[in-house]
Amino acid sequence: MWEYEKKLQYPVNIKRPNPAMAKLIMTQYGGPDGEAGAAMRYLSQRYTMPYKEVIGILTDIGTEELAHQEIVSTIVYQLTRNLSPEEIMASGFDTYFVDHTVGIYPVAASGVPFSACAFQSKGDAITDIFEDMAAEQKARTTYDNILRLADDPDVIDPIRFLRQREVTHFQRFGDGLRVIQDNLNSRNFYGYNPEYDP
Amino acid sequence: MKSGQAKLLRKLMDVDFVIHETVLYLDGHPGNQRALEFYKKAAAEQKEIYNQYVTQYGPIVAEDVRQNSWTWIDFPWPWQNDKEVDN
Repeated sequence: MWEYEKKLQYPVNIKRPNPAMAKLIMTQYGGPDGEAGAAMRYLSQRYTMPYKEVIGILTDIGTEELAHQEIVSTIVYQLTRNLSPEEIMASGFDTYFVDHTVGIYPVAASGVPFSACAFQSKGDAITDIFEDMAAEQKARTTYDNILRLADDPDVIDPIRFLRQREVTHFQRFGDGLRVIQDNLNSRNFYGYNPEYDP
Repeated sequence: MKSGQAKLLRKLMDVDFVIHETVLYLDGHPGNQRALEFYKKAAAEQKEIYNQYVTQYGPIVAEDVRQNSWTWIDFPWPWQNDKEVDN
């Protein structure tokens, strides 16, 4: 089970609202490579994962992704304080505002709501760990794209932290891949699926 | 999981649930002194059971590891019952 800790994993303190940037960064909450999908992916995959090392990695990274949802949500929250209707119309945030006001809702930058189609739990150790490594790289690219578009140091700082976590998680899932392969037949990693075959 | 561990774990789960219910109530009734006193009593009881469990059997959260090996990842995970094979 889980218990909530009343603190962020990394501090967020944004002084200047920027609804256009909020709409882009929201994609890392509910978009195709966002933190909601990441948490759901790892916390779903761990049940049938046969190796304790990889169960630990999936559990602990999945839990950290929940903390990243909170950081992304905090960034969006602070970027959308005290906005006039004129600022909302001019920024392009109007299409979000009309449906959600300034509430936090998991959605991609394009406006597509969060979908479980953004992740897999395939029930195959090798397939899932490669999906996880790819997911970390996709999220890293998205954070790189956000950094290309952001100019406020208060926004850039926590985004750089989140970007670095994607790189670290990629490395740790690499450890998981090694554990999985060490447990399989080195002449044919695909000979059987350790999550299903006896 | 041996029966001694299972029994103490069940005791911990029970007191944790009592605390959780009290927390939910206190969230909506922060001024209720009787509920607050009840919470404090349950929390003190929980601390004792918790410490006994993690010392004797292993971690509830990763930071509890007291052993000389990384027992955090050891089987069983909570979704694994006695039919699961330890490896």
